[in-house]
Amino acid sequence: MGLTLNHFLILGAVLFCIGLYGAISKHNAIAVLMGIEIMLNAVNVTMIGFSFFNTVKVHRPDGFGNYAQYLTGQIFAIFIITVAAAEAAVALAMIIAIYRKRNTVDVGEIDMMKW
Amino acid sequence: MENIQQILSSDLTWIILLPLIGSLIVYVSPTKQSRWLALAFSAAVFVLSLTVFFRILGAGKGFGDLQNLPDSIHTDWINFQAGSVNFKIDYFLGIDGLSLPMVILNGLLTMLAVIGGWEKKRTKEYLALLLFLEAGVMGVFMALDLFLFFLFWEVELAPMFLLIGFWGSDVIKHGMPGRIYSAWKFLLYTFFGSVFMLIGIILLYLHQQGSTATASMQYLALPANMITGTIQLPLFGVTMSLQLLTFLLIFIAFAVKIPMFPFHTWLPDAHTDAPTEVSVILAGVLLKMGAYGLIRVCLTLFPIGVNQFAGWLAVIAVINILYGAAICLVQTDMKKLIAYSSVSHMGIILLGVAAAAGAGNGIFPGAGDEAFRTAALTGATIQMFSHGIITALLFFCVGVIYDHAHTREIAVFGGIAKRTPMLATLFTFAAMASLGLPGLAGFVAEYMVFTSSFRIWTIPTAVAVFTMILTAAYLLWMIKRVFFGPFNPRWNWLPDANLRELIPLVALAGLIVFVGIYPAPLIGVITNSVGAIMTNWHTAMAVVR
Amino acid sequence: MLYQYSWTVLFAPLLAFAVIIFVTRVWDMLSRPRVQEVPAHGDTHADIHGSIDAHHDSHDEHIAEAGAHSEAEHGHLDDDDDPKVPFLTPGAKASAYVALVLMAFACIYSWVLLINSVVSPDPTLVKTGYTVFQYTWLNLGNINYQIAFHIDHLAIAMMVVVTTVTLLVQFYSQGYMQNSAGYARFYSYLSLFAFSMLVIVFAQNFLVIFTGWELVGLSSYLLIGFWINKKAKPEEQRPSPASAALQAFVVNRIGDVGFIIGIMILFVSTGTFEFSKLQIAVLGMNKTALTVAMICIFCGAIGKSAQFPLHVWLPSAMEGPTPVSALIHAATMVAAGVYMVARTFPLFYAADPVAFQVVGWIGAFTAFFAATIALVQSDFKRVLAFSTISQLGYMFVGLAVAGSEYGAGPGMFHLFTHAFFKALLFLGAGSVLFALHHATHREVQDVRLMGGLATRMPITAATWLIATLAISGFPGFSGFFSKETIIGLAYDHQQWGLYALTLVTAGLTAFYMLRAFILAFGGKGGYLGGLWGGPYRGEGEVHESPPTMTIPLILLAIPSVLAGYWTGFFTYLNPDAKPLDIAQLLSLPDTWIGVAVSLVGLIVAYAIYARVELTKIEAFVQSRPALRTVHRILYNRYYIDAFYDWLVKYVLLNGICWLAQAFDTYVIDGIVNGVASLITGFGSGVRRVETGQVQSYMIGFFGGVAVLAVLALVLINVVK
Repeated sequence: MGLTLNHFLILGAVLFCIGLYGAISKHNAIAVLMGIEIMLNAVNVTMIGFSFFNTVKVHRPDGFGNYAQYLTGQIFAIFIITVAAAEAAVALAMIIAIYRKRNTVDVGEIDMMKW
Repeated sequence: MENIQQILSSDLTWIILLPLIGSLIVYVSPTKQSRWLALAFSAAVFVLSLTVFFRILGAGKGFGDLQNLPDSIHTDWINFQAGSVNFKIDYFLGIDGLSLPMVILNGLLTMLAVIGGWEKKRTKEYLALLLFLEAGVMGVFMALDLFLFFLFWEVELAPMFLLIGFWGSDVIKHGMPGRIYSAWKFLLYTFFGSVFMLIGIILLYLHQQGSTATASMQYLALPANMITGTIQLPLFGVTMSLQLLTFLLIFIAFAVKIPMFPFHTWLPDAHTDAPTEVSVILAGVLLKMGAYGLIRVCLTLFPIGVNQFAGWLAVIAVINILYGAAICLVQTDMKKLIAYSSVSHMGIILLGVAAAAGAGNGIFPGAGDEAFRTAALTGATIQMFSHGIITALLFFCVGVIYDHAHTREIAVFGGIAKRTPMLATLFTFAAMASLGLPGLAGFVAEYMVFTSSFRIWTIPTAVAVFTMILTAAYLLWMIKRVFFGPFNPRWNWLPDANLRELIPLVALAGLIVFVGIYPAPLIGVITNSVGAIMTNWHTAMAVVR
Repeated sequence: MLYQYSWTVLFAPLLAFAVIIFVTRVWDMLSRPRVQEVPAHGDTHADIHGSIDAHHDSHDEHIAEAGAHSEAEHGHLDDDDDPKVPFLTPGAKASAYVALVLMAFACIYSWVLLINSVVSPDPTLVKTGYTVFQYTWLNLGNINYQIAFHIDHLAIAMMVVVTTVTLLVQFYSQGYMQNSAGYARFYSYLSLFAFSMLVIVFAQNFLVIFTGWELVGLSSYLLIGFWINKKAKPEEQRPSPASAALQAFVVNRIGDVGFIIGIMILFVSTGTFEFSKLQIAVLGMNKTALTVAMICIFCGAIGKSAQFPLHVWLPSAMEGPTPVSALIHAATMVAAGVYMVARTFPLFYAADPVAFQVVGWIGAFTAFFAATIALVQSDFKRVLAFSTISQLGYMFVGLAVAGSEYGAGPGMFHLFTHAFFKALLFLGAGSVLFALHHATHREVQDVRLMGGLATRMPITAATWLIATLAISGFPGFSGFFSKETIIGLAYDHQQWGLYALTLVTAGLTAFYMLRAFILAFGGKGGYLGGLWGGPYRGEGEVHESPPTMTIPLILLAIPSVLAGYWTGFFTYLNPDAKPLDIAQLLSLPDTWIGVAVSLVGLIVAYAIYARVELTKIEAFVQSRPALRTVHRILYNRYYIDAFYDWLVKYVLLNGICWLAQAFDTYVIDGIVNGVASLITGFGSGVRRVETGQVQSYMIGFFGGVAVLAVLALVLINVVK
């Protein structure tokens, strides 16, 4: 028995839960951001897993490999990495701005948008 | 493109477009010029509506009715197929004897309101919104496609909301400035009605089969095309005629606007908090939209529905008339008093319509009801016009006092006619007109409605006539407490109305006298339309029987 | 030709009104020197605004001060009571001349009409009359609304009364209103009134008569409230003119409701307003409906002619200038009710006799009731007001008992004669008040403060005595013929109740009129056994009024005597009627019963008031409990005014209207605001969920997703 889709999915789910727990429970905004990054990467893992195992049978004249992979998942993963990088940059900038203004990065105290 | 050319070549389009353009121009121009521009545009609209009047008069074929419009534009606007349903909204404007007086009234009152609002704070925004309001109201009076009618019905709300909300009074009501409270109350009330109207219009539209469905009033008014059949209401399990249901749905919007008991409480609040000119327009033309809708839409398209409801309508009319008048007697604020008097006077229109459409209580049997019905409806239509000018005059008068004295409390005045003889004369004149003094406009309408409704709804009319006493009592008592009696020296400094303030007062007073003494021209304008509505009603009733 | 142009009579006063309002009054106002400098707007504005609260206080102080003031100088006229100008501007004078010239034209024209129609009767005029001016509001085939004016003999007779009295009153007012600040305004109102009254006279249908009906109400309102800032005088039981005007208008409107309901019943049954068409159409009407309609229409007359129970406005209306009282509240407007019943006589006649019974009994009761009140009144003008109410009651009795052989004749005849002598009485009273005002610089209307004026004001006194004898029905004077005719008719038709009431009233009338005359003009110690002259109880030096005022008195005295000798009056109105036969009248015993009763009244009044001093009479009344109680009830007018005040204040205003207002505020608006606050309350509860903390949102979001996922799984399994 080798590496199956289930391994990928379980890894993704575990990572996602870890990230979610971090994002919800941490008070430090940077830690929350890290949690979110973990969640994003958990999704990446799942995507790539699906992409790797979701194949289609093709007949190539040279006989080199009779199965081809759908690349959508992998492309998505690259997208997500890119977006996550941008997001991290923006989020860090905002955190710094908030720190300058309010002298804290505790998300519990940043509640300016309540009712 | 052709379409647009056709639309732009109609003067009816320009009656709506001109104030709209004016409103934009006024808004962007400097304050000093904006006044004169607003005056120019409102005068242009007024002149344009008069031109339409004189052109129709000159043609010599009468002022027409819904099926024979002397001036109209009818072209496609929205027309697309979605599944089996064909959505079709026409750009259909038209003027006949019923709408023409209202259009001219709106033009006139807006022009006078611009003169009245000459020195308001943030003048140009104020004037721009007044012009915008005029455009919306003009659309209501001219639209002959139900969806277009609904559109204009809603368009008029926005400027009104802003006008009350920004320029209203700051007296605290229910924990907020009165202007905010009243603006919201006005908006929510009207929306409440509009929702039902929209449902009614859609019901009416979808009930028609196939791709020929249309919301054109001209088409729907023909007895052959009227909505028929019965419907079982899902929740209540009541079976009622479809026409009655549609009528009631659409009528709620008009009832709020008229305003009909028990939907009337927005009016006193809106009037007390609105600035003078807005009150003038509100009482002068906006209430008439409800009455106009009642006659133009309800009575024309749902004659049988109105007939089935007429008994209730007569009773509610009497409540409106007497209840409004009774409340007036204990008001302490001049504007609130006049607002309630509007409730009372609009009841007369309801009574006229109830008599036009009702089966009656049969105390006076025998043939000849037709003429009495027509006379009652004519009276109601005249009341729309005359109440418009009379209440406008009353509000202008109160406005002049308020602008100088900064209060409208009746009790703090006393004998100020000594200092303001001109204003006292005109205010007394307006009160006399409002209480139905013969020779002035109010009498013509009231007399015609009462004398002819009596044939159909004998008891309600006999009860309603007692308003004559109450009206005289509350108006003259107010006049007495403010202008006559021992002079209160606190007002020694009070100036009389100045020339600018006198222009609207004198203009309206002249019109009131003219209509009161010689109403024949006005009646000549509306008589064909009213006659056609009643003929239509009789045909429809005959079909049912 | 002559008749066709009679609309000029109608429109002449309207023209005068328009000219005065738009030309001469404006001229007057503009050319008037500024007597009092009103502080400019800007100066005091800010200061007044800064201290609105302070002003509240000072206002209260002012009221207290005003009270003290009026107590100190009881009855003194201040500027607000009767504003004066130092001299009349040309514009003001021109106003009077415009009114006078046009009224003179109307008066002469109507006399020409009268003489012409008497001398050479025109059959068309007699039978149907001429329609002189008309236009249509709305014509719907079988019903139409039309403004139409027409004349016939009835209209001409009334027209003569109206124009003549108006002309004389306008002439008289030049003296009475001299230097009044509202001189031009006064003449414009008088012209407006003349026009309104002529609208009633010329009316061809109910629409027009109702129009005129309301317009005279307006003129009456304006003229009663002529002194706009005048204060009430509670110690003399006198309201302020503004209140009196309001009361007059509203009370009249109560009658008008009945009037218009009657009109409506006739209109919806027959489809027409026209008197001539109605005469025929009502014959086919349901008798009960017709009777109800006519009684309702009579309600209008009850209001306008101040009959019980709507009589309260007329005594209050005396707050207007005295010429107004003479013109409107004695001679013409209040008689409009009588004229209207006369005009609709055929309709009343076609109805059940109950209709005329109602008219007769209301009239007779009012005549008696008002006469009893007049017995004890001390206000000079109020005595005359109640005598007017009483005499109007006679006219209604006259209409009710006449029957078809006389038609509207007797009632109209009394109206005709009464107009002259009652106008004379009021103008004479005005002359007295004017003279006393000049002598004392106060407004004196209490007869107890007069006395002995006859030697000082001989012309006024002489003419007043003539009018007193005329109204008392002294043989030979005009009142004798018209009043004895009515009493005689009640006797002839075996209306014993009406007969008794009218007969007793004749005695009371004679008593209170002579009482008023002696108290004002005579007194114990004067000539003619106290009838002429005597001790003057007031202060200052009293002189006869100027000729502008005495000339109308003399001119009115002539018809006060002679008007009764127009024996053709009944046949003039109705060619089929029996003429007034003076010889027969004098030969009937019941005439002499009436005369005897009147003479008893005169003699008793003479015996008491000319032979005994006033203070002794008062002491006598006050010392007898029964007399004192009766006196108090009568003096307070049976407390009817107080009862009406109570009714309006506690039942209407603080009862019904208060309830309606409360219902509006707390129920209707309460529901609306309740729904609104329910929704806002729900919203403000729910919005607490929005904590602003991003992590709580995250919990919500992912929790929601998890719940949905579980749900989806469960559903999928269930479906499987």
